[in-house]
Amino acid sequence: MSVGFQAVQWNRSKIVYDSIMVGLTACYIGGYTLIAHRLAPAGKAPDWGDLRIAVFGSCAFLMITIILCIGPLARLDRRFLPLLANRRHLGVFTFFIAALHGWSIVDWFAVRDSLPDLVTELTTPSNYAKFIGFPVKALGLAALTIFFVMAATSHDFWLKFLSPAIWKWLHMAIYLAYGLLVMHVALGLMQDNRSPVVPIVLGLCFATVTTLHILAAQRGRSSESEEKLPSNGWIVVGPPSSIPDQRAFIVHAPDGERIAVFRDGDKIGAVTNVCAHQNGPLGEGKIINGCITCPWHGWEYRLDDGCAPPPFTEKIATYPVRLNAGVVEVSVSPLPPGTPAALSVPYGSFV
Amino acid sequence: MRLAHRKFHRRAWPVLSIIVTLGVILALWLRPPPDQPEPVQPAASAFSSEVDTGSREENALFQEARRVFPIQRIGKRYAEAR
Repeated sequence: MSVGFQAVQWNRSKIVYDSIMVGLTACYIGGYTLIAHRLAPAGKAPDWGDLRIAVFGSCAFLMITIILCIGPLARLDRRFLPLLANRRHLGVFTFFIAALHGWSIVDWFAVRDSLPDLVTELTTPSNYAKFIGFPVKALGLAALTIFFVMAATSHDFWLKFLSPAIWKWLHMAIYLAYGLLVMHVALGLMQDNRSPVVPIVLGLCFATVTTLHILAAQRGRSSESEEKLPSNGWIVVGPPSSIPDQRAFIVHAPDGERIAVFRDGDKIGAVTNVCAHQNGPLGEGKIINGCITCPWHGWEYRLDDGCAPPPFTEKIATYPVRLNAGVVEVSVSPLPPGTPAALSVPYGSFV
Repeated sequence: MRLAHRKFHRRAWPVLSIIVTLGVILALWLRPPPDQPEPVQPAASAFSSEVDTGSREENALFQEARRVFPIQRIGKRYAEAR
């Protein structure tokens, strides 16, 4: 959270995260180069132009695979949440590695005075009618363009300017970019390189990402199907003790949106499950120092009224809650953001 | 995520996985056979008056002319092979 513009809000966690990210990337690039030299025929060093294309390309592909695994992993297991908090740094860094791969390809042609060949390949319409022989560089260029747009709009300024919902739609284009990248490898490297390693690694990466995303989506869907239907505009949550202390119980409004019902000691409040920052799942967060804290980036809101603590100004919608015959119920109608709606429950209700 | 994002996410991944899996299988299935060693065609510039036949310079030009992009125009070669 910030009340003013800052290019990067550095903190210890981000510095550690970025140091590990840069260190591992350097290890990969160094290791790949070393192995390529070891495997090269005696007395013949591998061509630096070819090596550069391979090492940056494979590194960017693996990084984007990891990025796409972080989201569903964090939904399936809370231990991965720290990876999610700084995922944007990894995304921007991946764009630069992918751009180095693209630049290496252009440079490969440039040093051989063959840039017209590259342009011809990309601009010959008949090439696009083929499957084997499709201009794979065009697929890579399309994916790189998506990465550029995502990296350029990754700052919170753009998040606020575009609104979280539109920003999220824009950044969901990474799914398309990943599909393009897989085909970029399948129709490019996999056609030339007869080693079984390429299709195996490609298949494993894509299968892992796809399985994690489908599992995470399935988990959300199954919790929705167990929902208790609202009666008279109120959704039954259960006895106060069914809500874990300083955590939330998530229910679904008839329109499908999620409501997070939090308990902090004897106080119960309901807020929208959507964080004002990046639409993160507030209900998967917890109450820290009296504030609901988003699990994604730590944005905070008071349980009483859904307002961020001063000096911050963000507000989220709250929902009326009531205790009916010892059972907590939440209204399906949201209140305007920042409206006090929390309820104090008598101690006996927990016994 | 909002409901619309969740709905899109739930539909996008199965569709994407089917399309990309089919694409990868097809790419593997239609993969052209490995290249046969081609008879070497000397580069025209190797026979210019400035480079002696059989010299180190000619050999260097000869190798350069044979260099192809590491992931080069498979389609072209495939079409030629067929």
